Amino acid sequence: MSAVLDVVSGVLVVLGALLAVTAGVGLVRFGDLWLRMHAGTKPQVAGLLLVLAGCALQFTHRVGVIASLLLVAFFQVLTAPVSAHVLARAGHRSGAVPRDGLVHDDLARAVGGAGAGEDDADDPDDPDGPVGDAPGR
Amino acid sequence: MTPLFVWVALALLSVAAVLVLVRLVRGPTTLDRAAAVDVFVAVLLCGAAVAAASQGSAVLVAVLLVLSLLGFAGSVAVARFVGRDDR
Repeated sequence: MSAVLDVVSGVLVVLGALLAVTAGVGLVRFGDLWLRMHAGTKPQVAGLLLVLAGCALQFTHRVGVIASLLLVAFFQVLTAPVSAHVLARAGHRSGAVPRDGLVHDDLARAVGGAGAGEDDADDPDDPDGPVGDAPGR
Repeated sequence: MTPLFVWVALALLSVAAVLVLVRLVRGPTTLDRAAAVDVFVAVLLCGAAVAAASQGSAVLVAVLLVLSLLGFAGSVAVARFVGRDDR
């Protein structure tokens, strides 16, 4: 049983490391901040969860360690979307990311000024009309 | 854990870390670098977890906890900074 657990945890850890490599490749190859964040959040978090699961299988007799690992996984799942959201928002606001490829841009309307919402006034889909320059955060 | 798995995982994580460092050095904007640092901390977390599993000691688990919160605080702080500055 212990040998089986060992192999399973090893495979999980290696799979997680492979996902980390995918994240790295995406981070290098993708074109702009938003694409890179896609690579930097999803595969990375999934890989980390796999590695943590493989690590937890090595500590099956120690409940405290498994609780800590669960806490790490919980924090990571909680904080990765938040930091990605904040980064994406900062990229949008600072204009660091080219917006030509966007199909739909809701944040431009919400942010208002800063040269973002040229088509605010005549947007038929927007019942509230243009939103003013939000004082921000 | 079987040493083979440990070495393969550590080698893969090293490759990932090098790729992330390439983006960290190149990254045209500060935000790209912040995203890269985020991923780098996650790779470090993976490495520490593999080390803890291979040694069978729980010492590194505390490091995991601290790293997971520190990386988050770092990238959010950088993002707030840039958002205020470059508008």
